[in-house]
Amino acid sequence: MRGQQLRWLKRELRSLGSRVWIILLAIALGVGAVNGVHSLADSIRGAIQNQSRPLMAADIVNQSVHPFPEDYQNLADEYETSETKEMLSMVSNTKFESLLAEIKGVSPKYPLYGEVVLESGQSLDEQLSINSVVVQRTILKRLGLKLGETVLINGKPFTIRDVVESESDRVNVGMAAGPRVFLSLEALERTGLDQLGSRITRKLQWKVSEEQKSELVTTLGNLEEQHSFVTTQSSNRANPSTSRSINNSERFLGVVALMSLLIGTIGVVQALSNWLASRRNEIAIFRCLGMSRREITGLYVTVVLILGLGGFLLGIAFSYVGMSLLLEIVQPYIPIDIVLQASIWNWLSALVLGVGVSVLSTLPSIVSMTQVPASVVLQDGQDSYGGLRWYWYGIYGVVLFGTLYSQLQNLLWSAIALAVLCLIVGLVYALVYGIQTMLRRQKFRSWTLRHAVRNFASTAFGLRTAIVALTLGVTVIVSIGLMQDSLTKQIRNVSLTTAPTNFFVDIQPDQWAETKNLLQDNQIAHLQSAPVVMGRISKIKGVSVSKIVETKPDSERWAFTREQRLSYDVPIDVETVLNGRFDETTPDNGLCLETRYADRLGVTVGDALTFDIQGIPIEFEVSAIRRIQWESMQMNFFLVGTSETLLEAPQFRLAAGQLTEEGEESVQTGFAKTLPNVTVVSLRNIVERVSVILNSIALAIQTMGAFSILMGCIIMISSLQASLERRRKQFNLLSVLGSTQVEISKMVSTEMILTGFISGVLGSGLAWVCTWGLLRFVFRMQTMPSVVGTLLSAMLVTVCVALMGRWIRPGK
Amino acid sequence: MSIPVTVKGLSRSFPSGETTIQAVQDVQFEVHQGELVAIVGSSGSGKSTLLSLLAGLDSPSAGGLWVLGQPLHDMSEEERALFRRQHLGFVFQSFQLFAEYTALENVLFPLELQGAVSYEEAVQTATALLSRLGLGDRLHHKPSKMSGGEQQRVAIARAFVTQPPILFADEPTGNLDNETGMVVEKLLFDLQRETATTVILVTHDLELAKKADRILEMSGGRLSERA
Repeated sequence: MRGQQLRWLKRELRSLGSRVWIILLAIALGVGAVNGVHSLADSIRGAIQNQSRPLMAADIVNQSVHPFPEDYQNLADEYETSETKEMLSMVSNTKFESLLAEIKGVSPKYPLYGEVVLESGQSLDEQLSINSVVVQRTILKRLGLKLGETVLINGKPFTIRDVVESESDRVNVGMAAGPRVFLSLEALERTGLDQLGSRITRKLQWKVSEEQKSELVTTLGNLEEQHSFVTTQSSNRANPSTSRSINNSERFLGVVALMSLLIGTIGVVQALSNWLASRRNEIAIFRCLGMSRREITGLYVTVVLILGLGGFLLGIAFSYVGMSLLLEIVQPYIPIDIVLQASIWNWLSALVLGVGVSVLSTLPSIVSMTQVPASVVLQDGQDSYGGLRWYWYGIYGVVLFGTLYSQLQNLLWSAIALAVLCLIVGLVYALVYGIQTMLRRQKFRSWTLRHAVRNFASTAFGLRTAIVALTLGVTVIVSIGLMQDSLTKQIRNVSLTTAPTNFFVDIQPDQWAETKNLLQDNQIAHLQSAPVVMGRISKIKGVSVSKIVETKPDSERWAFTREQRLSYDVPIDVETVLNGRFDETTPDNGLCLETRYADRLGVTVGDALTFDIQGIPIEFEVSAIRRIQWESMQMNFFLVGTSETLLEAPQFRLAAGQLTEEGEESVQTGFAKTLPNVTVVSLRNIVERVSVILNSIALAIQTMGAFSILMGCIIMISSLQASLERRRKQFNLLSVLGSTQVEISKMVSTEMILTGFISGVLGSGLAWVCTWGLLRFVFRMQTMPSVVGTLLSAMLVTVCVALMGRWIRPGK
Repeated sequence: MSIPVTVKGLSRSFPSGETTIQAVQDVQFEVHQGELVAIVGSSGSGKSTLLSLLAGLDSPSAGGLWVLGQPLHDMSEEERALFRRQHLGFVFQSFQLFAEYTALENVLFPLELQGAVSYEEAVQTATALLSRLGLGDRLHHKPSKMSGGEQQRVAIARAFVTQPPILFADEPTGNLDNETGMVVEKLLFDLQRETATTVILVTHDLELAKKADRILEMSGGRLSERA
């Protein structure tokens, strides 16, 4: 770039004054939010990927709830493998004091990667035998045991040989149901826990070289097609459910980031357009002195490019600070070390976003300004606002579409979102236009009121655009606030009044009477119980599941291949039935499905579902689709059939209820003595832990939202200030003609109250509607946004904008 | 050497609702090298419109205009801009300085635009001219820190710095008090004489106009020579 162009650039940047910070912050807000969310998600994925071997304790893992077919056993003989079986079960001391533990039976070669560190320093294989176990210290503490003493598992005695300090492949530490107990596979068999209804997760771990890996993965993939209940996971790919969680979180945070980007874009467009409009006279002088349109366009595009670059750099810095803080909050609940990564791709995307949005969204204004005729220099004192030609709004549409697509990654959704945004903008514009037109016709005696209303209703000085921009900004900001309020309320709305404190699982049918007596003797409240029949879906609408899952990605296969729990004779609230009916008129083979699960399977009322229940195919017809309120923590089943079909099927029972802490202890002791196979799950600790985690998530959401709101307010203030600046001459004229500063302040305040009221009411109202739509259709929640919050927001905006009128004064 | 300004049958009209306003009607005249010509007329007579046509800031509805032998009436807006850059200087009633530029930067700008001299030479020239006009100690001050008279002197310096063959001045003393106006007037005329620049001056001030070599009068869009 030539020296003189650099000098011109420097002078134009200087002419921005303090506006430059608003523009940089506006760009940084959007860039920072977007880069931060994606960088954090990538960092988590990267950490999982890098640590996947020790996390999995293998290169490849097969998982199944049934014993592995012979094909797998034969193949395993050709490789280095280990096997584990995990389940929840009660463990007790000889006084029958018990607690829930995570039992893990392991083969001698376990773990193939990573390590299980024991207190003695010995290896796990050395300490385990058919009669011995290794436990986490919590078990010794809670049951008052020492090394060498006996622990009972399903009534069978085992000697405690060692204490486990850490294990590399235990990823659910924060949410573990109980402390760990290691035992050998032979010892696990001795416990007799492996029976119908017990939920054993069987894993086969493989250790292979990189050269062998792809061949083995292919072979296992082929086997999976024959045995769809077995899943395969390799260390190259993150666990599908983890991927799902990360993708969903990224998507949600991406929505918040997108809203931040929208606020930022509004701010950039407003600030830069106002600045360019204020340069109108200077541009006329440039033209008069002989500067060509190309030179003027080049100059201002370069200014905006530099601002975009500056905003990008600031945004990147913001994002890493913000994400570091976010990581501080979530890291305790993730057992892998996450280091924020700098992804060149994310940076490039952020750069294109920041610079692209800045340049494209101001290009119409820049080009419009170059059309300023040089003869304006002879029109002293006239400051008419040159609006944009209608076709330039197409550029804004392109910019918006690009911005939406960058987050939604889906053309159809982006188009829908753009259409909705255009509708909102058009609606706001029409409403403001209507209000302005109506007010312009009113007559007032008081000149300050008259001027205030006329100014508000004026089409000059870009006021309408400023009011529309302010309304849109309020809409986005209040939407963020309402959404985070609704989401955190939903998170905290775990109803504990009637929610059970305990679940009882693995109750055999002939044990139910004794179980019920034990519970009632211990004053259990709100006792619920239901039979559970295990089965797998074999066909959907006549098509085999193994054929269906061929075309499904890993993240969606689980819905089709997992072991299902069907129940019957459970109450179904008709209010929750969304489609069909499930009552006395339902056919014997009728089935009621949970709505989201039905969507995943792609079935609706009238469709056929065939289940394999202990080798027997049973065809059901979908009779009803219902909604389940999971946060009620009641016993709920995705699949409910009729007793006519399921009564004779192999089954066990599940129960839940409320117990006092003493009652819980007494019940645990009772079960340990007489029904040691029954597992007692205490929800007290889990709810507490979940509450802590969810509070942290709520805090993270609120922090992001608050930052966006704060930035949005700063941007809106600058937008209003710019509008007031352009009326400086009007204020000076009023002063010259004899108005006092008090009268002028009164006029400005009245105008600001009117602006704030209209923008506040319109913006908050629109925010309520947008939030309702987002909650209902995107997050699939029934929660209604807060009406009180909406009204308060409208009032707050009115008051804040009115106060701004007192504080923001254009310079003389 | 060609006659600096030749005007033949120049007209400019503007639509106004259902009627057309003839701001300039069939104007014809010539301005010779080194002349100082004043165009006078009451408000609304069309003198500012005529000035904008002569300076290439606007294009005529009809007629011909040759400036330094170049047919301005045939040029596009961009061609006229480039022409202004190379050959014309301007002084305005409201100074029209760049508010965010210092006095020196304002005066440097036309030289930078022309690109005919190095930056260092341009600074030297601009500094010398500003010092000559009594603003040697105000080089790095912005217009907002200057009085009206000082601002107009900066504007005059900007107009003359490229030594344009023709200079247009639109009410150069219109925003100044008498005393300051006289100072500015003197500076303008002194520079004009020294550089033999052809100056076309638009003013409503007859006393100022009488100091010109010739007076042309605009009335109702028509031009006549005043005795």
